[in-house]
Amino acid sequence: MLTSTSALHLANRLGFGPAPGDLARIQQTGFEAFLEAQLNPRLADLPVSLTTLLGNMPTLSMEPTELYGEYWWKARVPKDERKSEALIAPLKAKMRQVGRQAKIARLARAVASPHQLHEALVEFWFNHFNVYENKGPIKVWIGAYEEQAIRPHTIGRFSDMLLATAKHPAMLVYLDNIRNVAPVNSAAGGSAPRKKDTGINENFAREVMELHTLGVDGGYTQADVTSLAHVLTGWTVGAGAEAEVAPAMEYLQGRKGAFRFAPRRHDSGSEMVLGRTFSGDSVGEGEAALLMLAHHPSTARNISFKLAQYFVGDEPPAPVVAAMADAFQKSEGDIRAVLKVMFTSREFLTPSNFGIKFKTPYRFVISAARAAAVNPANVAPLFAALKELGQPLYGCLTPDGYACTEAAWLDSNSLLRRLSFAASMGSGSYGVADMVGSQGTVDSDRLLETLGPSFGTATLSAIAQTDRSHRAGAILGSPDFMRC
Amino acid sequence: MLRRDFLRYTAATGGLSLLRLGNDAWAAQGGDVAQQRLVVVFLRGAADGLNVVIPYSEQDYYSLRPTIALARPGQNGGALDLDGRFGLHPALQSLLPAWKERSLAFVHACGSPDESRSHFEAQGYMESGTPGVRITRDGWMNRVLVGLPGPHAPTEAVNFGETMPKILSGKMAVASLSSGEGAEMGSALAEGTPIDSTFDRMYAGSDALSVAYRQGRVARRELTSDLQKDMMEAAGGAPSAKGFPETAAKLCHLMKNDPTIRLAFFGLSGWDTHVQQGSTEGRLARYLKPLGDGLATLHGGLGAGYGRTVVVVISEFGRTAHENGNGGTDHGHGNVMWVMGGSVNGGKVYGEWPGLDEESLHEQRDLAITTDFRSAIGEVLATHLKLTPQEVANVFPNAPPGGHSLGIMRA
Repeated sequence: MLTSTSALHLANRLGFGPAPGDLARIQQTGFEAFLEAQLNPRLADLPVSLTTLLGNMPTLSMEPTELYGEYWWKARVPKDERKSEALIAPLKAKMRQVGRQAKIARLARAVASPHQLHEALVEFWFNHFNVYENKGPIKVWIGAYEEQAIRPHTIGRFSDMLLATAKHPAMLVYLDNIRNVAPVNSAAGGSAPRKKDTGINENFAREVMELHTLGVDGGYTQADVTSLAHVLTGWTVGAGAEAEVAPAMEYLQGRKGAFRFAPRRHDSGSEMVLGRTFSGDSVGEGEAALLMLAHHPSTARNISFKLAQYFVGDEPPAPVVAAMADAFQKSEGDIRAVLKVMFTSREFLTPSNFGIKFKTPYRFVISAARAAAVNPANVAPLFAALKELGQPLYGCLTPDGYACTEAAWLDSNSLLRRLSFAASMGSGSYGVADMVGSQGTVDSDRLLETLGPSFGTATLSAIAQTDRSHRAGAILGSPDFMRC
Repeated sequence: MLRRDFLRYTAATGGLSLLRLGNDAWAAQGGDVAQQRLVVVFLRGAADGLNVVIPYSEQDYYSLRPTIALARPGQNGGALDLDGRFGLHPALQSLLPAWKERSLAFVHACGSPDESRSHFEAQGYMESGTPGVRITRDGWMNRVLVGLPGPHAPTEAVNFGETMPKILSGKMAVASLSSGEGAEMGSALAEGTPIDSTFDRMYAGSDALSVAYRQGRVARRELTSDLQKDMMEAAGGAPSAKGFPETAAKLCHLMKNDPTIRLAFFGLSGWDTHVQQGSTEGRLARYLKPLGDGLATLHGGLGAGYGRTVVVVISEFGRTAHENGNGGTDHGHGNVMWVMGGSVNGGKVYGEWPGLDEESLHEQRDLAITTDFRSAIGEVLATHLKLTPQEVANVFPNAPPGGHSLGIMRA
């Protein structure tokens, strides 16, 4: 049978740490069967508490067009027909519910889903293809983006996820590709009469190479960025003939908001990207360029490094990254194959790699909520905790997403905030834990049992010296619980 | 000189008793030497320097920027004339008094020689102080602390923000304060816990977490007591300004009350103006206004301390000389550095101006760089913080060999 220490390592790294009963379950399942189950999750199999909760969130399964028309556009107030505040306030409240549902759905599944590796990968890939909720209509698209562009592909094919994110309205708005238009004086294309958007915007083209695929060292030049921006002109959001003529944000009206390739905004001339020529007047040109990037050796290295940094260690050993990149290349970007190489590597499995990774605020909060068996319907108070700890959900402004390293997150100020959060949660005042004992505080004995061999003797002794009513806070705030 | 000083102090005073040391213990170390201070403001996202200090005498400026150029001084909404050649963005009007009394200077066409147009990479280089060298683990402001005479108080450097930026990372202790709106010291999680004695026991080791914990306890104790005092004094007329001006006011209070603070850092985001950045008004103007007001707050609010303070405003790179198709600008190269303080040789735009004609532009698109940011900051470190040439070289190990001095600081 698997040792409890190994089971803890798997629970900590393949997911967000043990919930009550998890360690014994993993020990009995054994390493290979557990890994296989995590790599092949039956995503529809969820506890009733989660299916009920998610079933009550209609906006989760809506298309961006409907979200835009129903929730965003109706709450906008055109200046010339200013409606009364009494009319607008409920529409705005309705709009805010969309983002709120997305956040509850994300945290509830991170806390209570048995498919922990999938949930960890949702966090990983969302950060990799980050969008920021407070930019225009992304506010109502953030959940749809995760549901449609990220979740279906977490353990699938990398190129599918790259195309899905690149075509999602949230990404097109976030990185300004809706404003990336063939210059009017261009020899080819660019015949649309326009009011404001009249040229190349290279924001998305740059980040897709620097962050999403090749990496900053991936061997591309400024000329490649500019060329790729030309290739991607016309990838926009909207519907119908209006998309051809009006500035992007103006035709985003009514029930519109789907990906659209607009030929008249597209530069059909030929462009050289990384030594390969792309031309044409269809969406296929941009798709071919993105697929080339998805299958580039630099992308294999960049993605492998980032995955290993997230799952293995802040400075992942070069051999494991190389083995993963090799698997990425051979499998044409099959994420499952890459993960399998990583999780079965000596570097991942060696005991000296146990319990050394410093938790990000997200991981810290979710792991505390799991250990304390927080009811998934009850996660909303955690939004504020994440914000206070510096990692608000869907709140990373910049396209590089949140880092996952100790260097990025360990500083004295935020450490003290973590301890305050731990003490509050342990004493029951956060009001989220279901595991409440007779004194109204989280049951510290059950917490210790759940977390098994997480603690060193010095920490156990300090916990034992703490008044019983505060022990749970001491457990969640201990240095041992800061790492995984 | 190293963080070991702090640890030694812990050992000498015996663990917990360190937490009871107030300001006085550190202040006494400073003696009667009035401390010189450096404040760094980092504009994250690449601020458009060509629309901050405007080369209004260049016709190229107007042809490159048909819709976003600032009009010449004297015209409606025009730039504020600085020296007959350059003008200041009108949203920065509150800085004119500092300019007129010659304590505000600019270094134009300044920046990092690295060619990167990646925000993250360029910020990393500007913060590590070693452009082109990825493996540098600490930030140049942390290395400045190494060069300052000890013993080192845990509040010697203060970061205004939620997480520690690269520029301050390193072996020397740095304190953190939340900045701006919505992140007040009164926040529930910023206070102590009922089980601090348990945590004191748990975080008593010499590992990274324990060290961070103890620094946090000491720094928080000092900073909160200073701020609480101020908030009491300001009761009734509490600071109402938002964002940077408010945080700048906090810094003024802290610096007045805590003589141990030598370095402070602010990271301000929102400068990545790819779309509709505007001209006299608009997005850039809306960000410049509170920045200027906050700097004016430091100018007016530091009192006598202004004479001992230098404020430097930097950004990872500049933006394209030409505007793009969306009324914005894309990632560029050269930028303008701002330098303000009582001992600054101000009222002058420093740096060799490369011009904006196509031949002079870096890669035919961006303002070229004629002054390495390390040369300009190095002068401040040497003249103002009195670092030796060797200490400056430790802060910027690969800086180009010292050429002519700009003369930004009064001797």
